[in-house]
Amino acid sequence: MGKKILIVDDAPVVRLVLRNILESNGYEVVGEASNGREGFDQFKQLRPDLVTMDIVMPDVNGIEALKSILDFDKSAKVVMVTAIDQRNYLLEAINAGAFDYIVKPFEDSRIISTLKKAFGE
Amino acid sequence: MNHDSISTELLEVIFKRAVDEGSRVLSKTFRAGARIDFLEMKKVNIQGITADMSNLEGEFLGAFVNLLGVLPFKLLFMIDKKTAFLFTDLYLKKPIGTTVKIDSIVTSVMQELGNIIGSAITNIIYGDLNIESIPEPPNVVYDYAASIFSSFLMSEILKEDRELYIIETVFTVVRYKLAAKLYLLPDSGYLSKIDIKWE
Repeated sequence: MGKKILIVDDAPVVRLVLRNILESNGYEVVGEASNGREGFDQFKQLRPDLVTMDIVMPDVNGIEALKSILDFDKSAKVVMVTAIDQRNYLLEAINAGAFDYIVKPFEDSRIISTLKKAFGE
Repeated sequence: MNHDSISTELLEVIFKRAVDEGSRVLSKTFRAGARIDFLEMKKVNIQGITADMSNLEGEFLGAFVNLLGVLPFKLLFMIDKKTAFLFTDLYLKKPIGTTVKIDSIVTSVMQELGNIIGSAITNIIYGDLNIESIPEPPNVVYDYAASIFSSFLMSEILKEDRELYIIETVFTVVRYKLAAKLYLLPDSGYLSKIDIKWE
C-alpha cells in the first residue's frame, strides 16, 4: 500500500487532477476536503502521511489549517499547493512548518518529486 | 497630471502585466499555447455598459473574485458556454469536444480559472507595488450576460455617477479565437490610496 495522502482544495477539479496524479504514481488518496476546517478534521481522523493544502479557500484558509495541523501533530508533513505566488505567504507557510510550497499551475513531476523528497525516497 | 490620470495609468500598467501573467499561467495550465491579449482599458458609464450587456446572446459562465487588501477590486471573468467546454477539455487533457454540457466539473474549472487569474493579478500587485493583496475564493454563476453583469454591479448600482474600469481581452488557444471578457471594478476610495503610493 502506498503512502496515505489527504488533498485539501476548494476546487473539485483540482482535487480530481491531484488524485489522478497521485494514484497513478502509487500513492493512496485517503481523503479530500474543500476547506481548511474540513482538512483539519479529516487529518485528525485519517492521520495521512502527507497533506496537500491550497491557501485560498472559504471558511478556514490553508495557512490557518496548516497551523492547526502542526499544533496537533508537529511531525505532520504539509505541502502548500496554491496559485498565490507571494513572498509573504510563502514565508508564512514555511515559517509555520510547511514542508514545501508549490505554485499552480503545477507540473505532475513537481508534485511527485516533492512527495518523494518528503518521504525520503 | 491630475490624480485621476495617475490612477488610470497605474491601473493600466498593473493590469497589462497581470494579463501577461494570466497568459503565462493559462498556457502552463492548458499546455496548449493559451494567450490572453490585453486590448483596452477604459472608463465607461454603468448605465451604458449594462445596456450593452443585454445585446450579448446566449448563456455565459462568470467567475466573481474579490481581490482584498489595501487596493481592493472586484473582478469578473466571463466566457460563453462553448469556450467553457473547450477550457474544461484542455484543463483535463481530454480530446477537444468531449465536454458538451454544463456540470459540476465545468463549473469547477471555471472556479479554478477565476482563482488562477485572480491570483495572477494579486501576485503582480504584490510584486510590483509591494501592496498586500489576495483573492477570495471565486463564486461561479451560469446565466445570461446581463444577469451576471447586474450581479457584479449590485453593490455599485445605486451610485449613479459611478464609472467602471473595463479591461477587454482576446483569448487565443492554439487555433481557436475565443470571446472572453475580464471586468474590473475598483473599490470606492481607491484613488486616494493609489495616490499615497505615488506622491
